[in-house]
Amino acid sequence: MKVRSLASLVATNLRSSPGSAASAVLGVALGAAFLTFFIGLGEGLRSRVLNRILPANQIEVEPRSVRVFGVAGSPTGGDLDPARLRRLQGLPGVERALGKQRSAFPARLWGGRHLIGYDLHTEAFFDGIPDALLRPELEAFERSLDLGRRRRERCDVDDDCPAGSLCAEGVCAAVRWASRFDSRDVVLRCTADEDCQRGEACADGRCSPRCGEDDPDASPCRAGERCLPVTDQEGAPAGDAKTPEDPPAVCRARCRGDSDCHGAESCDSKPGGDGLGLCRAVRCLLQRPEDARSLERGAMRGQLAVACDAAGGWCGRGGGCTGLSYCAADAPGAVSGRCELPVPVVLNPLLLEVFNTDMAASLGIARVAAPEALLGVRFHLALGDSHFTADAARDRQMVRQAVVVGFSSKAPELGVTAPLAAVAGWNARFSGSAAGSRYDGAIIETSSNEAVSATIAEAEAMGLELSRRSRTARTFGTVVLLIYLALVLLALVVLAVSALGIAHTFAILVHERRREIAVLRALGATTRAIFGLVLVEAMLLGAAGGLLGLGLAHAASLAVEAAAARWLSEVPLLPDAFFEFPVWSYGLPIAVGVLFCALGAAWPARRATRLDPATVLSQP
Amino acid sequence: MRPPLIHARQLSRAFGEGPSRVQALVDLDLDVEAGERLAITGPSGAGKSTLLNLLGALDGGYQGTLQIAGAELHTLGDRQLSALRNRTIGFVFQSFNLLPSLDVAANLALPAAFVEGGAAAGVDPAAVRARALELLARVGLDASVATRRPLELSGGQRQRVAIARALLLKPALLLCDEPTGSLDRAHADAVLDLFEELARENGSALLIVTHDPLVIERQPRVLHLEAGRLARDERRQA
Repeated sequence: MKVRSLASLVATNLRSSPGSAASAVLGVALGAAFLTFFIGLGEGLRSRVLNRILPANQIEVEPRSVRVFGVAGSPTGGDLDPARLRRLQGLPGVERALGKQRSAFPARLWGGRHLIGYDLHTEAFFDGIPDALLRPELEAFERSLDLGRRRRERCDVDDDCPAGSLCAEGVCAAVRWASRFDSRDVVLRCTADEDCQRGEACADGRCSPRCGEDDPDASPCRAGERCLPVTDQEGAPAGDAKTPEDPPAVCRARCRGDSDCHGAESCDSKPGGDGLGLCRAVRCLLQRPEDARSLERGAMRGQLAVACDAAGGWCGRGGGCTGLSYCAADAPGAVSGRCELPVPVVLNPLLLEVFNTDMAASLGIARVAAPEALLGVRFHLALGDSHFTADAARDRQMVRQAVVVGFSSKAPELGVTAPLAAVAGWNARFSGSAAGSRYDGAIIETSSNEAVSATIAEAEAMGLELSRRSRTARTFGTVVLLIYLALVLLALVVLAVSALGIAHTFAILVHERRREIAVLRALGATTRAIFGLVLVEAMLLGAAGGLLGLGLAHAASLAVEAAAARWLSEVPLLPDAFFEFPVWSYGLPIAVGVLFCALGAAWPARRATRLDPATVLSQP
Repeated sequence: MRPPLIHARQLSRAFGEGPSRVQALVDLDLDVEAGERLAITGPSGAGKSTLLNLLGALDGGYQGTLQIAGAELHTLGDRQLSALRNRTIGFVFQSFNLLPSLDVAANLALPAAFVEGGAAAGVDPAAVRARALELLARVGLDASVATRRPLELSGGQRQRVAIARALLLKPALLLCDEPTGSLDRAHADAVLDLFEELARENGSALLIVTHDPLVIERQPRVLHLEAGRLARDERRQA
């Protein structure tokens, strides 16, 4: 039978039984709507909630700990050093393995005066995570806040602008905080090589990667950098212990202008031999030593400085550190320093919830209504200084500013997350260069979800185990998956019931149309054509039902999203949406509707082929 | 020598089993040549409709031999039987059996929808439409009728549409069941004229099951059935 004729007959049949067609379509639509709705919700939960904690293809491993009488510790030789990290990276199915470090030095922090009226003081614990791991999540969070589309207020100075924005060309412009989580902007100050990590040397007051063919700890310089001897560099620290015969060389960023330099550095006006300058720190002077602990814009920016005597003294020349940078003192109690960007840090959303639910009430202070209120908030870090334990040597201590650039479930619940380069550098400064290159854990990203189990087995064979966070995420993931599957199963049951409805409807339709079918048989229709006629009609109804179900599911999901936005807006850091519809979810309800209708109509269609045309046509 | 269009020997058909078994047709021998016209008559229950269903390849539960256009129906599968009904046999039912949900043009074109091979078999949509309109004109209906539904037509008009549909693919055998049963005398005469003329034009054999003496009188050959048996095979001079 020709397709056109079949389509014409089917269309005519559908038009002639609108009631039956509508009831069949509605049944399938209901099942398809359930299916699509639950798929959207399940995928949304998996990608927007579960994947924020740990994506399905990511695991976090750490050296295996043994418990003796309830006390956990790592067996000897269980460290995760760069060599073991490279082994993890080389495992089959592993896309990348990124080390992470926890702080191994005392530190405390204080801040919050601008937000809650007075400074909160606490001990500080750091997690160092590679930028690449957090950046996508931070960007997604920032997109959800839609900062760029907010009304732009007029301003003269930054202080006129709300938190999270700066005054630029007379209007307050939102700062893209996610992009600030960048280890290239982290400058690790030093006075000697011992302050730096293995493979780095102290040059021009900052730790830089060593380079040079004869240096066993050297690494190749990156694009835009040049390998220069430490002694060639202006302002080489007096404490550099290298002998003139064996000067180390370091990679230094070359520049044509300030925009080529990271952090708060500027491009040296004296070009090198290749016509390019060097990125150097901008010197500054604080008015008073106490200004190092101030968050007042005028005080913390100090004024720019120039060398003014042969003894290395610095004199003010007006202006101050620009943009987001502040004048970071060279040493505790010193007024001379360098302009630096605050260290970008990320907080766990749980911290905000704990603050709002428990701390705010106890301390009688206002709650933080929205997470974006914390974006751009600065606080002080006293590195090497502790409320509880012994402080580091005073000449090693330093006070730095930090700025909140986002929230992530990957951040520790109690502590702050900084770029790995910062934590590794501080670990080297306070606990020795070896501490800067030893990882407390690694995040492994596999090329597919299927490769995860094998990777876990390989990591366990290397003396590693899943972190508590990873174990929790996997358990949560399994629970979400089971609930998801149960709901999808429920939707399939609804579809199966609708298929029974289809079977009933088509059994009636076939009975009603038996004379018509007999006439078609008399005119030359084969049993196959009759079967196809009934089946195609059912499949068209299934497709229509699936399409309607798809629309219903999307409408319901929009209603749920709108209700959540209205009623749950007070709950901080909820995902920006609960539903996510992958591309295949648009075709699935239609395909499933067609399939179940075909299954439902198969038996009536078979009955139609078995009608005896002679008997039917003999009836009056 | 060409075989007859219909060749039946010892053709029997029974319905039911055991005590309720009814012998509808008993040992019927029949040959019908191409282009021949004949009426089949007899009292109710004589086996006329049973014979018509067997000759139309709608009922395959017979004993004996039954060949249509040289093919023994017993040996044909569903596809071949369907093709035989489609290309060799045309039906005109007493109640017309037009599909009420299709317009006249679609009803007329319906047999072409089941031709295997479609355009490759010489049945392309344009040709079918032209043939349908030609037949519509031939049975005395205006082309505007093509877009109307069967229920919007009179009984006579529906009968003409049914005749046109049966002739669409120029079948070798035209089977008619009481074609004048629902028509008045004037219309019955006109329809019979049309039938005979079109059958002659197509070279189709015409078998009419009827009680109508007028119809019987006009046919050159009349088969009288009684209690499932061929009581008389009467041939007249044209």
